[in-house]
Amino acid sequence: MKLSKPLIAALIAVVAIVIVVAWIILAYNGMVSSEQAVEAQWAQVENQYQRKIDLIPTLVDVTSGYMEFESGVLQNITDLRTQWLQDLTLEDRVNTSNALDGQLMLLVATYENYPSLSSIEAVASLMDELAGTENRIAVERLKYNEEVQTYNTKIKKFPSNIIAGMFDFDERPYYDPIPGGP
Amino acid sequence: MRFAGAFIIFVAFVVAASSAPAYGQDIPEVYLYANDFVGVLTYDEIATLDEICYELDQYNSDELAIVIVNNTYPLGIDIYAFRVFDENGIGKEDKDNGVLILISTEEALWRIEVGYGLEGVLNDAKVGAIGRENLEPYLAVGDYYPGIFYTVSALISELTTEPTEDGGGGLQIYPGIVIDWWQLGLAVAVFVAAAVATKGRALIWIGNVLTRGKFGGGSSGGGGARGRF
Repeated sequence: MKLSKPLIAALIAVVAIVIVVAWIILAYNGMVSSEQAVEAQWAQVENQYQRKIDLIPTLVDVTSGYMEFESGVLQNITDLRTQWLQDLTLEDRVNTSNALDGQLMLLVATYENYPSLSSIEAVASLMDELAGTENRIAVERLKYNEEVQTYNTKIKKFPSNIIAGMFDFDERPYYDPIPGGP
Repeated sequence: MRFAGAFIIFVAFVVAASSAPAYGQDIPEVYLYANDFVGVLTYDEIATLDEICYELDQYNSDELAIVIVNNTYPLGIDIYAFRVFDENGIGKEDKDNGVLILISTEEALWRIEVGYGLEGVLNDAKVGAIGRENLEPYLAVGDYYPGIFYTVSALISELTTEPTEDGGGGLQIYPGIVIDWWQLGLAVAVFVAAAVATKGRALIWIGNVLTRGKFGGGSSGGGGARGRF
Protein backbone atom coordinates (compact mmCIF):
# COMPACT_ATOMS: atom_id res chain seq x y z
CA MET A 1 0.00 0.00 0.00
CA LYS A 2 1.33 3.38 -0.99
CA LEU A 3 0.35 6.54 0.89
CA SER A 4 -0.82 9.41 -1.23
CA LYS A 5 0.67 12.84 -0.71
CA PRO A 6 -2.50 14.45 0.79
CA LEU A 7 -2.71 11.61 3.32
CA ILE A 8 0.89 12.13 4.45
CA ALA A 9 0.23 15.85 4.81
CA ALA A 10 -2.88 15.16 6.88
CA LEU A 11 -0.98 12.75 9.14
CA ILE A 12 1.77 15.29 9.74
CA ALA A 13 -0.85 17.93 10.57
CA VAL A 14 -2.58 15.62 13.06
CA VAL A 15 0.70 14.75 14.77
CA ALA A 16 1.64 18.44 14.96
CA ILE A 17 -1.72 19.33 16.52
CA VAL A 18 -1.41 16.52 19.09
CA ILE A 19 2.07 17.75 20.06
CA VAL A 20 0.91 21.37 20.41
CA VAL A 21 -2.15 20.41 22.48
CA ALA A 22 -0.06 18.16 24.73
CA TRP A 23 2.43 20.97 25.23
CA ILE A 24 -0.37 23.44 26.09
CA ILE A 25 -1.77 21.03 28.70
CA LEU A 26 1.65 20.44 30.25
CA ALA A 27 2.53 24.14 30.35
CA TYR A 28 -0.88 25.06 31.78
CA ASN A 29 -0.69 22.40 34.50
CA GLY A 30 2.84 23.47 35.36
CA MET A 31 1.65 27.05 35.88
CA VAL A 32 -1.32 25.95 37.96
CA SER A 33 0.85 23.92 40.33
CA SER A 34 3.33 26.74 40.58
CA GLU A 35 0.52 29.17 41.41
CA GLN A 36 -0.78 26.75 44.05
CA ALA A 37 2.71 26.57 45.57
CA VAL A 38 2.75 30.38 45.85
CA GLU A 39 -0.65 30.36 47.58
CA ALA A 40 0.36 27.57 49.97
CA GLN A 41 3.58 29.35 50.88
CA TRP A 42 1.69 32.58 51.57
CA ALA A 43 -0.51 30.65 54.00
CA GLN A 44 2.67 29.58 55.79
CA VAL A 45 3.74 33.22 56.12
CA GLU A 46 0.33 34.10 57.61
CA ASN A 47 0.52 31.14 60.02
CA GLN A 48 3.79 32.45 61.41
CA TYR A 49 2.35 35.97 61.79
CA GLN A 50 -0.53 34.46 63.72
CA ARG A 51 1.96 32.64 65.91
CA LYS A 52 3.63 35.94 66.78
CA ILE A 53 0.29 37.59 67.58
CA ASP A 54 -0.63 34.62 69.79
CA LEU A 55 2.61 34.96 71.70
CA ILE A 56 2.02 38.60 72.69
CA PRO A 57 -0.44 38.18 75.63
CA THR A 58 2.01 35.86 77.47
CA LEU A 59 4.91 38.10 76.55
CA VAL A 60 3.24 41.21 77.98
CA ASP A 61 2.03 39.29 81.00
CA VAL A 62 5.47 38.05 82.02
CA THR A 63 7.54 41.13 81.11
CA SER A 64 5.18 43.52 82.92
CA GLY A 65 6.35 41.88 86.15
CA TYR A 66 9.81 43.44 85.75
CA MET A 67 10.60 47.11 86.29
CA GLU A 68 13.19 47.18 83.49
CA PHE A 69 10.57 46.89 80.74
CA GLU A 70 8.83 50.21 80.08
CA SER A 71 5.09 50.03 80.62
CA GLY A 72 4.54 52.44 77.68
CA VAL A 73 6.16 49.99 75.27
CA LEU A 74 4.10 47.08 76.64
CA GLN A 75 0.91 49.14 76.27
CA ASN A 76 1.81 49.94 72.63
CA ILE A 77 2.41 46.26 71.93
CA THR A 78 -0.99 45.30 73.37
CA ASP A 79 -2.69 48.07 71.37
CA LEU A 80 -0.98 47.07 68.13
CA ARG A 81 -2.00 43.46 68.63
CA THR A 82 -5.63 44.51 69.02
CA GLN A 83 -5.30 46.64 65.90
CA TRP A 84 -3.76 43.75 63.95
CA LEU A 85 -6.70 41.54 64.86
CA GLN A 86 -9.08 44.24 63.58
CA ASP A 87 -7.20 44.97 60.35
CA LEU A 88 -8.92 43.50 57.35
CA THR A 89 -6.70 44.25 54.39
CA LEU A 90 -3.29 42.77 53.81
CA GLU A 91 -1.74 46.22 53.49
CA ASP A 92 -3.08 47.30 56.91
CA ARG A 93 -1.79 44.13 58.49
CA VAL A 94 1.67 44.60 57.03
CA ASN A 95 1.77 48.21 58.29
CA THR A 96 0.58 47.26 61.78
CA SER A 97 3.02 44.39 61.84
CA ASN A 98 5.90 46.74 60.98
CA ALA A 99 4.89 49.09 63.82
CA LEU A 100 4.64 46.09 66.14
CA ASP A 101 8.13 44.91 65.14
CA GLY A 102 9.50 48.33 66.07
CA GLN A 103 8.05 48.07 69.58
CA LEU A 104 9.18 44.45 69.98
CA MET A 105 12.70 45.54 69.03
CA LEU A 106 12.63 48.02 71.94
CA LEU A 107 11.65 45.16 74.21
CA VAL A 108 14.53 43.00 72.94
CA ALA A 109 16.94 45.95 73.31
CA THR A 110 15.89 46.35 76.95
CA TYR A 111 16.45 42.64 77.50
CA GLU A 112 19.94 42.84 76.01
CA ASN A 113 20.84 45.95 78.03
CA TYR A 114 20.09 44.30 81.38
CA PRO A 115 22.14 41.09 81.66
CA SER A 116 20.38 40.34 84.96
CA LEU A 117 17.18 39.69 82.98
CA SER A 118 18.74 36.79 81.05
CA SER A 119 19.19 34.87 84.31
CA ILE A 120 15.42 34.85 84.79
CA GLU A 121 14.35 31.64 83.06
CA ALA A 122 10.80 32.76 82.21
CA VAL A 123 12.01 35.96 80.53
CA ALA A 124 14.87 34.22 78.69
CA SER A 125 12.47 31.54 77.37
CA LEU A 126 10.04 34.15 76.09
CA MET A 127 12.82 36.02 74.32
CA ASP A 128 13.85 32.74 72.65
CA GLU A 129 10.26 32.22 71.56
CA LEU A 130 10.04 35.78 70.23
CA ALA A 131 13.32 35.50 68.30
CA GLY A 132 12.26 32.08 66.99
CA THR A 133 8.93 33.45 65.78
CA GLU A 134 10.58 36.37 64.01
CA ASN A 135 13.03 33.99 62.37
CA ARG A 136 10.26 31.67 61.21
CA ILE A 137 8.50 34.63 59.59
CA ALA A 138 11.76 35.59 57.84
CA VAL A 139 12.31 32.04 56.58
CA GLU A 140 8.74 31.54 55.34
CA ARG A 141 8.90 34.94 53.63
CA LEU A 142 12.12 33.88 51.92
CA LYS A 143 10.49 30.67 50.72
CA TYR A 144 7.45 32.65 49.53
CA ASN A 145 9.62 34.96 47.47
CA GLU A 146 11.38 31.97 45.93
CA GLU A 147 8.05 30.43 44.94
CA VAL A 148 7.00 33.77 43.44
CA GLN A 149 10.26 33.93 41.50
CA THR A 150 9.73 30.44 40.08
CA TYR A 151 6.15 31.27 39.13
CA ASN A 152 6.93 34.66 37.61
CA THR A 153 9.81 33.22 35.60
CA LYS A 154 7.52 30.48 34.30
CA ILE A 155 4.81 32.85 33.09
CA LYS A 156 7.25 35.30 31.53
CA LYS A 157 9.47 32.83 29.67
CA PHE A 158 8.95 32.22 25.97
CA PRO A 159 7.06 30.23 24.77
CA SER A 160 5.03 29.48 27.93
CA ASN A 161 4.20 33.19 28.23
CA ILE A 162 1.77 32.63 25.33
CA ILE A 163 -0.17 30.17 27.49
CA ALA A 164 0.03 32.51 30.49
CA GLY A 165 -1.50 35.27 28.35
CA MET A 166 -4.26 32.98 27.05
CA PHE A 167 -5.34 31.86 30.53
CA ASP A 168 -4.75 35.12 32.43
CA PHE A 169 -1.89 34.13 34.71
CA ASP A 170 -0.76 37.40 36.27
CA GLU A 171 2.59 38.24 37.74
CA ARG A 172 2.71 37.95 41.57
CA PRO A 173 4.30 40.61 43.78
CA TYR A 174 7.29 39.76 45.98
CA TYR A 175 6.72 40.15 49.70
CA ASP A 176 8.60 43.20 50.85
CA PRO A 177 8.57 43.72 54.64
CA ILE A 178 9.51 47.38 54.33
CA PRO A 179 7.60 48.92 51.39
CA GLY A 180 10.12 50.59 49.12
CA GLY A 181 13.02 48.88 50.90
CA PRO A 182 15.58 46.54 49.34
CA MET B 1 21.04 27.44 5.35
CA ARG B 2 17.74 26.13 6.64
CA PHE B 3 19.69 23.76 8.89
CA ALA B 4 21.68 26.68 10.33
CA GLY B 5 18.45 28.53 11.19
CA ALA B 6 17.02 25.51 12.97
CA PHE B 7 20.28 25.07 14.86
CA ILE B 8 20.26 28.68 16.09
CA ILE B 9 16.67 28.29 17.37
CA PHE B 10 17.65 25.04 19.11
CA VAL B 11 20.62 26.73 20.82
CA ALA B 12 18.37 29.63 21.90
CA PHE B 13 15.94 27.18 23.52
CA VAL B 14 18.70 25.34 25.36
CA VAL B 15 20.13 28.61 26.71
CA ALA B 16 16.67 29.85 27.75
CA ALA B 17 15.88 26.61 29.56
CA SER B 18 19.11 26.40 31.53
CA SER B 19 19.21 29.75 33.34
CA ALA B 20 18.95 29.33 37.11
CA PRO B 21 18.87 31.82 40.00
CA ALA B 22 22.13 32.26 41.90
CA TYR B 23 22.91 33.45 45.45
CA GLY B 24 25.63 35.90 46.36
CA GLN B 25 27.01 33.98 49.34
CA ASP B 26 28.53 30.55 48.94
CA ILE B 27 26.81 28.08 51.22
CA PRO B 28 29.24 25.34 52.23
CA GLU B 29 28.54 21.73 51.41
CA VAL B 30 28.55 19.78 54.66
CA TYR B 31 28.89 16.05 55.35
CA LEU B 32 27.81 13.67 58.09
CA TYR B 33 28.28 14.97 60.87
CA ALA B 34 30.94 17.40 62.18
CA ASN B 35 32.30 20.05 59.78
CA ASP B 36 35.04 22.38 61.00
CA PHE B 37 35.91 25.04 58.40
CA VAL B 38 37.96 27.05 60.90
CA GLY B 39 40.25 24.42 62.43
CA VAL B 40 39.37 24.72 66.11
CA LEU B 41 38.81 20.97 66.55
CA THR B 42 41.42 18.22 66.30
CA TYR B 43 41.03 15.20 64.06
CA ASP B 44 40.25 12.98 67.06
CA GLU B 45 37.64 15.39 68.40
CA ILE B 46 35.85 15.45 65.03
CA ALA B 47 36.00 11.63 64.88
CA THR B 48 34.44 11.36 68.35
CA LEU B 49 31.62 13.78 67.48
CA ASP B 50 31.03 11.89 64.22
CA GLU B 51 30.83 8.65 66.14
CA ILE B 52 28.29 9.98 68.67
CA CYS B 53 26.10 11.48 65.95
CA TYR B 54 26.32 8.25 63.97
CA GLU B 55 25.03 6.32 66.99
CA LEU B 56 22.06 8.70 67.24
CA ASP B 57 21.35 8.34 63.52
CA GLN B 58 21.37 4.54 63.87
CA TYR B 59 19.20 4.71 66.98
CA ASN B 60 16.28 6.85 65.80
CA SER B 61 17.46 8.33 62.45
CA ASP B 62 17.78 11.90 63.83
CA GLU B 63 20.59 13.75 62.05
CA LEU B 64 22.80 16.13 64.01
CA ALA B 65 25.09 18.45 62.04
CA ILE B 66 27.91 20.49 63.55
CA VAL B 67 29.24 23.33 61.39
CA ILE B 68 31.95 25.81 62.43
CA VAL B 69 32.62 28.76 60.11
CA ASN B 70 34.65 31.98 60.28
CA ASN B 71 31.68 34.25 59.65
CA THR B 72 28.23 34.36 58.09
CA TYR B 73 28.51 37.64 56.14
CA PRO B 74 26.49 39.06 54.49
CA LEU B 75 23.47 36.88 55.27
CA GLY B 76 23.66 36.99 59.06
CA ILE B 77 23.62 33.87 61.24
CA ASP B 78 19.85 33.25 61.06
CA ILE B 79 19.46 33.12 57.30
CA TYR B 80 22.90 31.52 56.87
CA ALA B 81 21.88 28.70 59.23
CA PHE B 82 18.64 28.20 57.33
CA ARG B 83 20.50 28.07 54.00
CA VAL B 84 23.08 25.57 55.27
CA PHE B 85 20.26 23.45 56.71
CA ASP B 86 18.07 23.64 53.62
CA GLU B 87 20.68 23.24 50.88
CA ASN B 88 22.34 20.28 52.61
CA GLY B 89 19.02 18.73 53.61
CA ILE B 90 19.83 17.94 57.24
CA GLY B 91 17.45 15.31 58.61
CA LYS B 92 15.62 12.54 56.79
CA GLU B 93 13.50 13.69 53.88
CA ASP B 94 10.15 12.37 55.11
CA LYS B 95 10.79 13.20 58.80
CA ASP B 96 12.61 16.56 58.73
CA ASN B 97 14.37 15.35 61.88
CA GLY B 98 17.63 17.28 61.66
CA VAL B 99 19.39 19.64 64.05
CA LEU B 100 22.18 22.04 63.05
CA ILE B 101 24.67 23.47 65.53
CA LEU B 102 26.28 26.45 63.78
CA ILE B 103 29.15 28.41 65.30
CA SER B 104 30.58 31.57 63.77
CA THR B 105 33.95 32.23 65.40
CA GLU B 106 34.71 35.80 64.23
CA GLU B 107 31.24 37.07 65.08
CA ALA B 108 31.17 35.06 68.36
CA LEU B 109 27.65 33.85 67.55
CA TRP B 110 25.99 30.47 67.76
CA ARG B 111 22.72 29.17 66.41
CA ILE B 112 20.95 25.85 66.85
CA GLU B 113 18.50 25.33 64.00
CA VAL B 114 15.80 22.68 64.44
CA GLY B 115 14.06 20.84 61.59
CA TYR B 116 10.26 20.93 61.22
CA GLY B 117 9.90 17.39 62.57
CA LEU B 118 11.68 18.05 65.88
CA GLU B 119 10.12 21.41 66.80
CA GLY B 120 7.84 19.62 69.26
CA VAL B 121 10.65 17.93 71.20
CA LEU B 122 13.10 20.81 70.91
CA ASN B 123 11.15 24.04 71.25
CA ASP B 124 12.91 27.41 70.98
CA ALA B 125 13.08 27.99 74.74
CA LYS B 126 14.59 24.55 75.40
CA VAL B 127 17.16 24.97 72.63
CA GLY B 128 18.02 28.47 73.89
CA ALA B 129 18.61 27.12 77.40
CA ILE B 130 20.79 24.27 76.09
CA GLY B 131 22.93 26.76 74.15
CA ARG B 132 23.28 29.17 77.06
CA GLU B 133 24.17 26.45 79.55
CA ASN B 134 26.45 24.27 77.43
CA LEU B 135 27.90 26.28 74.55
CA GLU B 136 28.36 29.81 75.89
CA PRO B 137 30.51 29.20 79.01
CA TYR B 138 33.08 27.14 77.03
CA LEU B 139 33.04 29.05 73.74
CA ALA B 140 33.58 32.31 75.64
CA VAL B 141 37.01 31.05 76.76
CA GLY B 142 37.83 29.35 73.45
CA ASP B 143 37.13 25.76 74.57
CA TYR B 144 35.19 24.70 71.51
CA TYR B 145 35.27 20.95 71.95
CA PRO B 146 33.80 20.66 75.47
CA GLY B 147 31.13 23.23 74.60
CA ILE B 148 30.08 21.31 71.49
CA PHE B 149 30.36 17.92 73.25
CA TYR B 150 28.08 18.95 76.12
CA THR B 151 25.63 20.60 73.74
CA VAL B 152 25.46 17.45 71.61
CA SER B 153 24.97 15.34 74.75
CA ALA B 154 22.17 17.62 76.01
CA LEU B 155 20.43 17.54 72.62
CA ILE B 156 20.74 13.76 72.40
CA SER B 157 19.30 13.27 75.87
CA GLU B 158 16.27 15.34 74.80
CA LEU B 159 15.97 13.44 71.53
CA THR B 160 16.19 9.97 73.08
CA THR B 161 13.98 10.29 76.15
CA GLU B 162 11.02 8.89 74.27
CA PRO B 163 11.26 5.24 73.26
CA THR B 164 11.57 4.48 69.54
CA GLU B 165 9.01 2.54 67.54
CA ASP B 166 10.92 -0.73 67.88
CA GLY B 167 11.07 -0.40 71.65
CA GLY B 168 14.56 1.00 72.23
CA GLY B 169 14.69 2.70 75.59
CA GLY B 170 17.62 5.10 75.72
CA LEU B 171 20.82 5.63 73.78
CA GLN B 172 24.21 4.60 75.14
CA ILE B 173 27.03 6.82 73.99
CA TYR B 174 30.35 5.03 73.42
CA PRO B 175 32.87 7.54 72.17
CA GLY B 176 35.34 5.22 70.50
CA ILE B 177 35.85 3.43 67.21
CA VAL B 178 33.77 0.32 66.74
CA ILE B 179 34.93 -1.81 63.83
CA ASP B 180 33.70 -5.26 63.00
CA TRP B 181 36.96 -6.81 61.76
CA TRP B 182 35.27 -9.77 60.15
CA GLN B 183 33.07 -7.54 57.96
CA LEU B 184 36.01 -5.27 57.14
CA GLY B 185 38.09 -8.28 56.05
CA LEU B 186 35.29 -9.58 53.82
CA ALA B 187 34.84 -6.14 52.24
CA VAL B 188 38.56 -5.89 51.46
CA ALA B 189 38.59 -9.43 50.00
CA VAL B 190 35.59 -8.67 47.75
CA PHE B 191 37.17 -5.40 46.68
CA VAL B 192 40.53 -7.03 45.78
CA ALA B 193 38.74 -9.82 43.89
CA ALA B 194 36.71 -7.24 41.97
CA ALA B 195 39.84 -5.22 41.17
CA VAL B 196 41.56 -8.34 39.79
CA ALA B 197 38.49 -9.50 37.84
CA THR B 198 37.97 -6.09 36.21
CA LYS B 199 41.71 -5.61 35.56
CA GLY B 200 41.91 -2.60 37.87
CA ARG B 201 38.79 -0.73 36.79
CA ALA B 202 37.21 -1.35 40.21
CA LEU B 203 39.88 0.93 41.69
CA ILE B 204 37.73 3.84 40.52
CA TRP B 205 35.26 2.80 43.19
CA ILE B 206 37.71 3.67 45.91
CA GLY B 207 36.92 7.33 45.28
CA ASN B 208 33.27 6.66 46.02
CA VAL B 209 34.07 4.62 49.12
CA LEU B 210 36.13 7.45 50.60
CA THR B 211 33.55 10.17 49.88
CA ARG B 212 31.81 11.20 53.11
CA GLY B 213 28.08 10.70 53.41
CA LYS B 214 25.50 13.36 52.73
CA PHE B 215 22.50 14.25 54.87
CA GLY B 216 19.07 12.82 54.15
CA GLY B 217 17.18 15.77 52.58
CA GLY B 218 15.25 17.23 55.55
CA SER B 219 14.16 20.85 55.82
CA SER B 220 13.71 23.54 58.44
CA GLY B 221 11.21 26.34 58.95
CA GLY B 222 13.52 28.57 60.97
CA GLY B 223 12.93 27.05 64.41
CA GLY B 224 15.64 27.09 67.06
CA ALA B 225 17.58 29.69 69.01
CA ARG B 226 20.72 31.77 68.80
CA GLY B 227 23.08 33.52 71.16
CA ARG B 228 26.37 35.32 71.66
CA PHE B 229 29.50 34.07 73.42
